Amino acid sequence: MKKRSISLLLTASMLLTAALTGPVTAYAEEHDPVTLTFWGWTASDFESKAIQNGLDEFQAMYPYITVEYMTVPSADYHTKLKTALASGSGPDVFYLDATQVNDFVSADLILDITDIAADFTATMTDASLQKVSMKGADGETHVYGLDICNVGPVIFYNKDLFEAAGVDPMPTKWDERWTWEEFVENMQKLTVKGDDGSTSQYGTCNWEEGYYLYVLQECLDLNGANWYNEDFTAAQNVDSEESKEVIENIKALRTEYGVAPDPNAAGSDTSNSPTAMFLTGQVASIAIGSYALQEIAQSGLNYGVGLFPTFGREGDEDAFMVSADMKAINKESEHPEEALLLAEYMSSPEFGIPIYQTGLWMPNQKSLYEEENISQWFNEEIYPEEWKDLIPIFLNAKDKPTDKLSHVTSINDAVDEEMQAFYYADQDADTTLQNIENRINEILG
Amino acid sequence: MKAKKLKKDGRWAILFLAPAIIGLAIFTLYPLIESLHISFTEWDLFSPKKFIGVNNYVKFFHDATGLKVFKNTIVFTLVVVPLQLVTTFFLAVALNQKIRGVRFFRGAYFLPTIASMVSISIVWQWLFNTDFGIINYVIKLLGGSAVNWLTNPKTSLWAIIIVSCWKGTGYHMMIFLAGLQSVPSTYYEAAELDGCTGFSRLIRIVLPLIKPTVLYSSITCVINSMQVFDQVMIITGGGPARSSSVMVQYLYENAFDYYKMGYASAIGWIMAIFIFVLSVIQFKAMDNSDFSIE
Amino acid sequence: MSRKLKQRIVKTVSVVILLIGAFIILIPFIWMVSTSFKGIGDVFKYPPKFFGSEIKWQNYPAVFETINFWGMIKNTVIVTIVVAVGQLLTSSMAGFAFSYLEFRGREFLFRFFLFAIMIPFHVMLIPTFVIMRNLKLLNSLWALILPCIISPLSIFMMRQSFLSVPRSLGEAAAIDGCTPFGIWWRIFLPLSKPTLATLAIFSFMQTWNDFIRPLIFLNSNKKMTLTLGLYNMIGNFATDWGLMMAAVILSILPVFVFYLALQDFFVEGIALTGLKG
Repeated sequence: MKKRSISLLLTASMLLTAALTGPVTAYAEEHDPVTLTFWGWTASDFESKAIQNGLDEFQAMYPYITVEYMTVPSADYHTKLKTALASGSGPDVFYLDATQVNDFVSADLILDITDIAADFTATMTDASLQKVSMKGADGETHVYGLDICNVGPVIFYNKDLFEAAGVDPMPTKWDERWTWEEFVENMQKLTVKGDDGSTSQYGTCNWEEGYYLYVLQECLDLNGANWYNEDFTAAQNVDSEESKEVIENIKALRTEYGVAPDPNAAGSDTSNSPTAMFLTGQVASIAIGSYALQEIAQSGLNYGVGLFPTFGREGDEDAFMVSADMKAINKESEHPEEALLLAEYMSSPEFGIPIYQTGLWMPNQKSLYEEENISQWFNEEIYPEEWKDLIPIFLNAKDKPTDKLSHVTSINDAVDEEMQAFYYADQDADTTLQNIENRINEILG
Repeated sequence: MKAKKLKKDGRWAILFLAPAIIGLAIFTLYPLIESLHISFTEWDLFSPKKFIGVNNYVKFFHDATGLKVFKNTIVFTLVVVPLQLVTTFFLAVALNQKIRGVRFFRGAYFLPTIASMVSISIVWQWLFNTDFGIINYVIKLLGGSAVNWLTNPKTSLWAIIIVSCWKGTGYHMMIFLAGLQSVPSTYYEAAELDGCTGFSRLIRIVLPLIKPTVLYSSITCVINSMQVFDQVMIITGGGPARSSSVMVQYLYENAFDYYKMGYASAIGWIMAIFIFVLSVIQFKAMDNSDFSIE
Repeated sequence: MSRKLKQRIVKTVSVVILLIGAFIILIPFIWMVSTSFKGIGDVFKYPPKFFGSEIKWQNYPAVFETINFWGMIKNTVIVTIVVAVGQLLTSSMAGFAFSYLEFRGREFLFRFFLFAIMIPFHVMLIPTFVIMRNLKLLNSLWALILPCIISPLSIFMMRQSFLSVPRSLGEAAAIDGCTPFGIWWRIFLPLSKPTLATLAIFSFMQTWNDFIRPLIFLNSNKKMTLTLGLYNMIGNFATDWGLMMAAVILSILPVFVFYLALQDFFVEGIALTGLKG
């Protein structure tokens, strides 16, 4: 209730600000009415409402533009989007997952806005963390869309359970991270066996999530395992000792130490089952993308946040990976200018801040990471105090490899299939990694 | 007279058949030919088709994942069909007596049939939950240890098999029941006079009499099993490690996730050919002259 | 005496088997209802209890608030009704032509329709998708309706049913000046009501429960049918099993009511299709 009234207040105040300062007058001149279609994936109730509010505000700023917002189920979003674009019935503006950008660019479905938005993109690229939407296709930088958010891998933990087990809070400073061994030790303290020998509380979960998400890629990078060549056209060194160490450590959490539960829906993309176990206090911690903060915050759990443990590699300061979603414009759009206005608006702090405040996204604008601006979005009811330590880490993060690859859907399915054979059947680590390398190269080649 | 009637009827026939013929031409005949065509090409739905001969078909039998889903589909069919037919036959025999509550039993057994596979699958996904599902709860009550049904490659396909058998029980039981009821009671009496009773009567007298029903049941059961999809998509997504993945799912993924339309079409045709072969085998095995669809 | 005893034993054993079977069949439904009244805290409790700490009936209204349930029902009903009416009309017309009318090529054409029954739908999936794309019917309910209106199996069953109507009835009407259309509409159709009801029921069940077509042809949340909506719920609300179960129950309810109302037709219909199909 409290949260809702706060957000209402914020929205109201923002509407007011927009009304006072917004460029309403500039666009009051004669315009033919324009209808734009905008596609986004089905989001949480909260996110959908935030988006709708933002769109309402946009339409108030530009009364001649009507935006039709269509949500498409997330599981099939990119498939449906690609088909719609290719058959000429696509939306003018759309959300695009970072992993899909390359494929959409090479299928020639996205408007290259480098020139038409020259002024804007110039300032934008300086001011924002622009990562995925810029591609150097021919040696030059092309802008294909505008990023909107910043999401990175973290560990959320249940403070009450940590306290009860006498485990220290998880570190949030890069230099103070636990080693993997310390992490396992602490998770063992948090794992409780019931009278009948079955585990009634687990230390941690979600380490075996799908490849294109966060956990596996982050762990590989922490241990210095790099699977791809420079321009991401081929896989190499997948079967390195570093990779092997990572996947064996992850598997051991469940099979050897018994500190992680059996995930319940290994086949499906959604990592909801681990989240559910964490939210209901069955598991003390969860490794997951920072987007989960929004859902966790709403559950009323006493939660904290921490960084992934180190694998002991020297110089892993650069190993924090983030991903972003972007908005792009249909190449065939009949109203590219208005579409650009909408895309720009959706990258502005006005649109983003209400969503950053829910914890779903970290900001994409560099300025919002500056000391004096943090309070604009750092909602203390949502973000735990120690999150402030993570802010510089998010600011200086790098891209996930899957955001730079082509054919990510096929690669992801192949990697997941092999990894599951390793995690849940008896395929050994070497075979798994060799298979992964071969299959990725087959897909890319 | 006859010729005149033929001509007169012919005009009316065109009228009466027009919707069916047009519909069949557009939505069956054309797609059938076109899909055969696509299966010989490499095509991503966006760029022009490239003819590659039978490569897609050859590829399937060299594709480790393809062979895995093929094997899963065959195992699924070979387990589900006999299991389902035998249990539902005996259930139908039990129900084909003058006992109280026939209506209740009929209604209860038929419930899973009317509900969609999607909704049923959601319920079973919850029942199979390793930590909170009641299936493992019952197993533990009986002294066993929890089975991670959906995350163990050894059990995931069996979870799908259990759901499918459970769902199909009502339908096949009802068909057998209808078959049994069409057997005139004089046959039973005659058999009894010959001293043929109980189980042997069932096998020697009743079963041959309802051969058409058995054949119909087994053929539809094989066709449906070969095309299993909904429950796999929802309960396991084909995982873990494709241990429960099946042909239609692989077809769907190749077509609409990877945009390999040619390969997906070839998978569809391989499936169709297998269904056809299995149907012919069943016809031959039953060697039944009474049964003809005309 | 011993024969009677034996019969009684057989009957008792049968009833016991049937009861066990019914229990196995019904338990998932019972558990579904139980879960639908649980909040998230009660759902994730071990050992599982039939009743949670509170009866959370709010899961039911919550279904209508969290997903576009009325819209899903509306879409499903539209598709189901249009397909059923279309199928009955086209298959009774074609069935009439194949059974009553005499024309050249009848047998050949009929064999062709028989052949069409055997073709698995999935083979035609991609070309059908391409047709819908070219007709700009993707994300339209027409994409679900058009390919399903013609059903070779229904045509076959209507023909079988019409064959049992005495020809003399039609011929007598023809002498009185009745056109084939009149014969079809006034004589054959009224005499085949049970078959029509059966086909309607089957068409209803098939369309209501269809999953792969909506999955492939529909995009937006506004156009979703029930099965597709439930499928998407798994991705978005999988933690809230109480809510999921409430949604499942609400989606089954219309078919269930329909079934109870027409239970005897269902059984008869199964028998009819089972024996002749």
